[in-house]
This record gives sequence, structure tokens and C-alpha cells, in this order.
Amino acid sequence: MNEPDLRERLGAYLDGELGESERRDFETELDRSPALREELERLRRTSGNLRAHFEGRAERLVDDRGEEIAVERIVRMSTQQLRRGDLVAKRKRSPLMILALLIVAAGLAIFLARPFLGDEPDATELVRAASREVDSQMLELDLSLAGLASELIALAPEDFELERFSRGRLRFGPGGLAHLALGLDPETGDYRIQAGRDLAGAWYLSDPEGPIRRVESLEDAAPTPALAAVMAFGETLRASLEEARSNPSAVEMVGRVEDELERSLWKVRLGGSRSRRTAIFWFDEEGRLERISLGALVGTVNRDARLSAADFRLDRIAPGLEVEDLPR
Amino acid sequence: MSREDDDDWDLLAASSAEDGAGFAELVRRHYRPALAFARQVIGDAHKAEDVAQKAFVNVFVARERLQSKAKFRTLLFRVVLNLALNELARKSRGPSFSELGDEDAPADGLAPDQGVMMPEAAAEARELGEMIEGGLMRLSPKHRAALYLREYQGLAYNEIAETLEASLAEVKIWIHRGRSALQQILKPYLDRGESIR
Repeated sequence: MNEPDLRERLGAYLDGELGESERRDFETELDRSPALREELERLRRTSGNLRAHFEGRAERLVDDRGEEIAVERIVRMSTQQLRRGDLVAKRKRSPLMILALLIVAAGLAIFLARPFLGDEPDATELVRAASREVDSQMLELDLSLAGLASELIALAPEDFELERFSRGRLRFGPGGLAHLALGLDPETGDYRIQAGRDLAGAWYLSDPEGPIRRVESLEDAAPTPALAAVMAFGETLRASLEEARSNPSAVEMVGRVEDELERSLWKVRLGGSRSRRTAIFWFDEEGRLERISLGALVGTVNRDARLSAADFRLDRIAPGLEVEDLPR
Repeated sequence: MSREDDDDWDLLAASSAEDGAGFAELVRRHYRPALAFARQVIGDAHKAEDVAQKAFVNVFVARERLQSKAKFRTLLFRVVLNLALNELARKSRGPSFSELGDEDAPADGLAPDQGVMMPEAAAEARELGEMIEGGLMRLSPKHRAALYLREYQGLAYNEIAETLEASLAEVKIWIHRGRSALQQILKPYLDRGESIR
């Protein structure tokens, strides 16, 4: 048994999560190895410390009086919200409300017809609205990609054999966001891009040995529920952009967004959401990785920090590629 | 599901805009765990209160659409988690300079409870607590959530997976990585055989 595997089993053993025969095998191993027993003891104490820490925090978060105030507040807010909802539903059915809706609809029609009546609509606002739509879908996509990453491992272990995944947020143009699944190879410690999707709907995949490539469809590779969720996100996004595009005054702005997409600038934080390590992956129009910029996040107190290609193990991800520092 | 779990759903079903007594009982049962869970994911005691309270309101308003297949607490924690992640995503889109400058500090500034201790022991316990909190805050929200559900709530891996809407493999990895990171941080204390209590 290799060491990472053993350490993971130690945790599962401590938590009573090993099957009967696995547990017996592991206990035999424990009997044989004093070092393993010591490791188990250290893990048990780490776990005990964590539990004590959580307990201490939970006890101090709120006292009895505070709890009672919170309960009263929650019940009041909940019932008020429900009554408001009922009221709105009743009002919706009234003839007066139908009349009001007709007036609002007429107003809206006049507003939408403004481009053809000579007034300039606010194109920036339209694109911002599309971006907000993207943001509102982010969390769902984030969760879906996490699921997708684990499903990829299960479905195609030969192609996606990396065990651990972290997710980087990709930033495309003004306000546009999409996501990327990064794999961490347990043996080499290298990060590798596994799968990602840009706002134009194109997928990016990485084979263990090959370069990052742009593909039109991932359906054949992994027809899974998580993938379906990610693809649904893409549909919503395209619909939003389409809507913005249908307004003549927004064409220039949308065009600029699309130019950004073509350049495919991927900004990735490595090492969790609080990490200051940032890599920007620049792609050419064919989807080939062109160059990589490295550095600390702009705006952090540590903005002067310099990182090297070795920090990201880029020699493994993209050997021979041009690497530059992020502009200060 | 246990009888108490069924009872939770019964209390929710019996609640209405006119009669909030059953819902109040339900909130009393689960408020502290929900608040502690939110605090652990979000790292800020004040925002955790907002998140926990909003989670109950959302559950109440949507109660007719909710299905009682899972434990009530599993569903509640899932709502708390989603609201907390939304809050973190919102925060990460527009952090202030002061927030960025204090990334590694516990967001609510709480120090571990010292109880009745000699000054030296209290200082050591505080230091240890701060190290643990600092280590936890360097983990991702989901790692923290998984560790909390395992260590404090005592949930089995499959229950954690259900709560976090993750695969069993992911949960195993999150718990393993979380503990490993904490073990590394606590190494000097573990070498000396000290603990938080």
C-alpha cells in the first residue's frame, strides 16, 4: 500500500468507514507497524482537537437569550414573507391587477421600441444584465463542474486519471465568468487542466500526455447529469448574449465581449479561493495555449510577490512555453 | 429516517402563516447547528447569522414544494451551504482592500474560550485555537464544511456527501486533505502531546 493511500485509509478507519474485510486487513497492518499505530494516534489527536475547537466555537456563537431572539425573528420574517406572497398571488388575480399589468406591458413595449423611435438605449446596461445572468449561474456551474470532474474520473479513468481536482474561475472580458477543472496529479504534484468551457460554448480538454485542445462537444466523452447541467448553463448564457445582440445599439459592445472570448484569457487561482497565486493562460484563435503570465493577485497587500514557473510546475503542464510575469 | 426526523417534517408541514408555533419549535431544534455550520463555511459570525436565518425563511416559504425523503437537517444544511457559498462568491467579486489585507485572520475575531485557566495555559490554548482556525480558513469552504460535518456533527461520509451534494470520493478526499493540512499545522503541539482541552 503506498503512503497517500495508507493515510487516506487511516482516516477512513478512524471514522469507521472501512468495510468489514478492509478493516480486518488494516488492523493486521496496524499490528505489524508501530509507525502506523503512532500515525493513527496523531490523527486521532488532530481529530480530537478539531472537535474541541468546533464545540468551543458552537457554544460561544449564541447564548439562550440570543437564540430565542433569533427564533422569534425567523418566525416573524417567515410568516410575513408568506403573507406577502399570498397577498401578491391574490392581487394578481384581481381585475385591477390585470389592468395594471396591461398598462405595464404597454409601457414596456414602448420602452423596447425606443431604438426604432430614435432614442438611444443603454447598451452598457444590456451587457451588464447579461453578465449578471452569468454571475447568477456561477454557483450552479461551480457545483456541476465539481461533479463533472469526479464523473470524468469514474467514466474514463484512462483519460482522466488524476485523483484530486480544484476548480479555477476563468474570467473572460467584462464581467463574463466561466469555470475550469484542474487536476492535481498525486504522483507528480502537477496541476493539469482537465476540462473547461468558455463563454462562447467551446470546451477545452486535456489528455494526460497531449496539449490542451478545443473541442466542439463533450457529449460523447461524458454523457452525465453534471455535464448536462453545465451545458444548460451554456445555453442560458448564449440566450443572454443573443438577447443583447438583438439590440442594434449593443452590437459594438457585444462584439468587444466576443473579441475577448476569442483571445480566451483564462485567469486561474491555484490553491483555493484565498490563494494569491495566479496564472493567466492566453490562447490563440485556434485554441492553442500561447503564453502564460504568472504573479500574485493584483490588489492584494502582497502585490510585489514574484512567482516562478516552478511554483506552478509549468514545465510539466506546458513545456517550452513562453512564461512571463504579470504586469504590476 | 428516525422518528425525530419524521417529526421535523411534520412540524414544518403543520406550520402556516397564521400558526408559527410548530415552525418555532423546529427552528429551536436546529438553529444552533445551522448557525455553527454557516459560521464554519463563511468564517464570519455576523454574516453566518444572516445566512442561517435566511435559510430557515427560505425553507419555510418553500415548505410545500420540499420533499421529506431526506433528513430535515440535511436539507437545511444544504440551503445554508448554498447561501453561504453565494455570500462568499459575492464577497470575492468585490473585496475591500482591508478584507484582502487580513485574509488569514479569523473573520469574526473570536478567540478560543479560555475558561478558568492559568495565564500561560490560556495563552497556549488561545494560540492553538488560533492556529486551528487559521488552518481551517486556509481550506476551501467545502473542505471546512466536510470537516465540520464529520468532526462536530458526527455524520457518516455518505450523509456528508448528501448534504454537500458531492460524491463519496470527493468527501473522502476533502476530509483527508483537511485533516492532513491541520495535522501539519499542529505538528509542534502533537509532538509535545498537547491538545486544546
